[in-house]
Amino acid sequence: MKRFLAVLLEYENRVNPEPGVPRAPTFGEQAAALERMAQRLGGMLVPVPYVARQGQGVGDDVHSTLEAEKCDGILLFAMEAIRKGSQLDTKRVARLHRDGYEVGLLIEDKLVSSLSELEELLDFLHVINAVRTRDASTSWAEVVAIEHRR
Amino acid sequence: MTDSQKFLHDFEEFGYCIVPADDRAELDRLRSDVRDVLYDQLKVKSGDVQNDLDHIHRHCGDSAEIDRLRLAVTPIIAEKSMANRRIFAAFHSKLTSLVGQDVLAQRVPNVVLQPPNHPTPTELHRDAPANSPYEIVVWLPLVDCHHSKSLYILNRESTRAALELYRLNPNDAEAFEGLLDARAELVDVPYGSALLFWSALFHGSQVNTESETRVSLNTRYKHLFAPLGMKDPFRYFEILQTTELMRLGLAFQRSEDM
Repeated sequence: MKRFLAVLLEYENRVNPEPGVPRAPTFGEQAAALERMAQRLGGMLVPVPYVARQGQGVGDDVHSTLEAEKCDGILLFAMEAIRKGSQLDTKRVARLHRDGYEVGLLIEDKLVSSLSELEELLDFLHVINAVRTRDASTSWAEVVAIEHRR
Repeated sequence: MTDSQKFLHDFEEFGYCIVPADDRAELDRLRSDVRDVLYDQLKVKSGDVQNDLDHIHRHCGDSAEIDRLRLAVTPIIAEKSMANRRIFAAFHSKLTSLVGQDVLAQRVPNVVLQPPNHPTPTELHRDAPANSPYEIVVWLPLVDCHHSKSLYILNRESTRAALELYRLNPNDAEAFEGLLDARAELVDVPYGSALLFWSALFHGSQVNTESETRVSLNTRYKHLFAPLGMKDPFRYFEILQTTELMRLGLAFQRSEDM
């Protein structure tokens, strides 16, 4: 039976974590949902989950945890668990795949187990990183303001 | 002015356009698939596609059952029928002229069933600002839609007037209703065409007082690098298509991760 490390997301805001969502899911709810995902993938969760703080992402220690727990994969509650600041950690995802781990994303309903699936995910992550960087920049705000005045 | 120039001019002026499919055969196949999925769920023998969809309410019970049916078929139509891909293909020329060749598409198009006298029409709303204002909404009826069987929309000028009225008189529901009565346009959209509209326009529907059900899909597209809005892009969108140049650029960035 496959062994998966669950990555729970510690939300910055427990109330209204995103538009239309009144409260963030608890660790218990996240763990239960990830347990079902692990079962669907023919496996189980290792007993102790990893906790990623929103905005800080998954640290280097996750790799030693995966090795120590003899995991086959890692299941993240949400893509937000790999966001560091404004950027999604593409290098982390690539390394997890390179080290041979399946990478699952529960909320986004994605599983990366092949190179083509990794490439597809990385492409999307790069696009979103680029868009977020541009949208937060002062030069973009100036462009929008100029267009607005036209 | 050519047809495509007129389309773009009208779209910018009014914020919406009703356009015929470029690929009617693709649309017919999608409609037939949607009918099959619905009738499979209902375990009812199917016949003529148009008639089946117009009269699907004869095989459904109350509103709760219709909602259950809608929720059951939505993921199937998204995944098995690849609806977002096929809608884009069916209206390719107009959609690419608006959003370009590198495209993000809503992962799961919405399926709407609005039977006669169904008590819960779609409330007046606009998608943006929760959605990106750089997004196009495709409202695709799979039956002929007219009068209350269709939806209503406020064009750019009317949407601006509605926002201004609300800003000045946020509690004056009567005045707002009056503006809606005066300005909301019930659009006639025959099967074979789609209503393309800007995400920031107000729209909604009334109780369908016609004798047939409205069956429609709605979905959204935007340029790959368009600003995101507030919705989680990974949950709501997927990359639909990219140009050769975009693929080279993305491969270059990917190589730095590997």
